[in-house]
Amino acid sequence: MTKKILINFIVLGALVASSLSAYVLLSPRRAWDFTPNVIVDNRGNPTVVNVSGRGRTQVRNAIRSSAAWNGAGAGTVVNASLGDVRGSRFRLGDGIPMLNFRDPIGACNGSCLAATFTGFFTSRAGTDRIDDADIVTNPNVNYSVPGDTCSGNEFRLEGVMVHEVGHLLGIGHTNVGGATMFPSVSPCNNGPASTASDDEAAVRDLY
Amino acid sequence: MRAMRQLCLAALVLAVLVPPATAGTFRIVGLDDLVRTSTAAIEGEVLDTISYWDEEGRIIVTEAKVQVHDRVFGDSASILRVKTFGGRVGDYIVDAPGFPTFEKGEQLFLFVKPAEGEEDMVRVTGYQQGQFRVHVDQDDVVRADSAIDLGSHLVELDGTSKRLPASLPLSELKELVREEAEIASGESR
Repeated sequence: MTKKILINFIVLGALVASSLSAYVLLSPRRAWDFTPNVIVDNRGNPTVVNVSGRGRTQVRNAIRSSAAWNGAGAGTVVNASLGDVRGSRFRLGDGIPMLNFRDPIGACNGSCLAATFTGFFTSRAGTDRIDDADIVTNPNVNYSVPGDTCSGNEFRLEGVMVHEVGHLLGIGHTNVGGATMFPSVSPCNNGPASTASDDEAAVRDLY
Repeated sequence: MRAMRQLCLAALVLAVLVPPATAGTFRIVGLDDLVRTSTAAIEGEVLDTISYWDEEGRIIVTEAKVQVHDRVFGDSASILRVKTFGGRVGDYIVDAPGFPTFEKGEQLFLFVKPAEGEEDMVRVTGYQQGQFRVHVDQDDVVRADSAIDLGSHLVELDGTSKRLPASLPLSELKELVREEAEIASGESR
């Protein structure tokens, strides 16, 4: 009887502990089988400038920095480069991951700040295969970059976009405060630009 | 038996603590915003859904046909064509977390507005924040539950007001919406 109670407590404790400190992967589980190179293009949002290494350059650097997704012990899981996506036709499934600071499909306006669309093929067993993911943003949202003053109605560019790239990689939201993938952010908070151990555990699980 | 009770308790704790995964980032909108930016608020039933690539082959969209049972404010057709992003075509899925989803047969309360560039089609106002799932609870009360996933990436800007609860009786929701629509109507006169 005592043994049964002990086992029950161990099971219960393990379940509760896992719920308190675990990352969440997107469902169904999905991952890239090659390293995506996210093309970052700032055109479309006048608050995302690119002067003296600010703006889109900072976003690119944040995405590929060792402090973000590539420093988790899983090797290089994402690349980012500056580019012009105006000439590329937006299409989920074309194998060109993009971070648009505009909204070519009219999906993200009004109360939407940013949306990540992931295209993947279903797999009968195991992990589904992501072949493309595109991030669109509301061009009317005001962003600021470190070094700028920031008001209560602006968002730190790097933090929001590193979070969205986490989704692009197949990671969902966590309930661990301070992690990049925590599901809420306040204006002017750039904390999510640097990944936490919980985020890194998610990357190591997937890649 | 006792072990079963403890496992059920653990499952309940997990269900409460673990948020589902979602990926869009949205500003929180209050009831006042929802009413002022919608052309109608309706209660209805999903008759059917269909997913397809948009005309230019850029993204999979899903269209739900919704039979309107009650219009709380505004004008609408008796059957609405509601567009949302994401869906499945063949073995390819486009996931659009944070966007409204629809299932045939479900009862909904929706705030809607015309879909830009789409004749005779509407979209849900405020993304998941303008969608409520209607059901009868164990006390036979018809309730409206917000469709917002617990893991939605929501941000609150300065000045957000009149935020709706996650669940409330449908009659109460309708009354709140009618009152807000009257206020909005008075302001526009």
